Amino acid sequence: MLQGSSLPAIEIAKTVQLIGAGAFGAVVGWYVYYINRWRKDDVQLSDIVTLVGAIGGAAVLALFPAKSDLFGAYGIGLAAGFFVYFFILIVMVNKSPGFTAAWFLDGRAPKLGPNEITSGGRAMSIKDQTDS
Amino acid sequence: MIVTFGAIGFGLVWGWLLGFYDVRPEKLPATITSLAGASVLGAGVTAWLGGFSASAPFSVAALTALFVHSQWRSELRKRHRKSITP
Repeated sequence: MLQGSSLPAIEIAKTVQLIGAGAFGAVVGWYVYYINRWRKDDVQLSDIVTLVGAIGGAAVLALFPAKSDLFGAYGIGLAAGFFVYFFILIVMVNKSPGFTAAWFLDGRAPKLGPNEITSGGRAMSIKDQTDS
Repeated sequence: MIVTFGAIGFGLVWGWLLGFYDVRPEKLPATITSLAGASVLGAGVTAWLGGFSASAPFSVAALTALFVHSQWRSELRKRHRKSITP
């Protein structure tokens, strides 16, 4: 037992490992949404297959043994990071003057002001082809 | 229990990502085949990592997220139609 703790050291280590796996998953989930948000073209099947590798590929399996609680904590963290990013985007789009939810479709944004330029960054997709 | 929640987390992310994939009528068979193949791949990875029993919560979560995301995007398209410029 650790000094000043009522839990056996092995249980504390396990808890820390679970928190670490969850935090790692949260970072990956956040980054998965980030990559998707800044992709150069409309989403392709190859993007999704690549993401399978990133989400559950060999690197992840090397870190977290299959069928273990660590894998579960990683999955929970992954979803948390992914959807927290999405939630923050919703809040920011709602709070930004001139922006509407259409930004999520095709990156629609208000016109630039007289002293504004665009940095070339883009939002969700180059074009929304469903309305054409 | 944690593994089940982890599989649900994987499924939600997976389904949401599939919702970004635009289905166009002229490419419907190819798209359905691709999405089905990708989903089987996702379920396989989850079964490999979380055990065979994790596939069911993964699949349910993925389908739910896909449905919700598709409906949301469809609703957005109805509300925010593009203005046609010459």
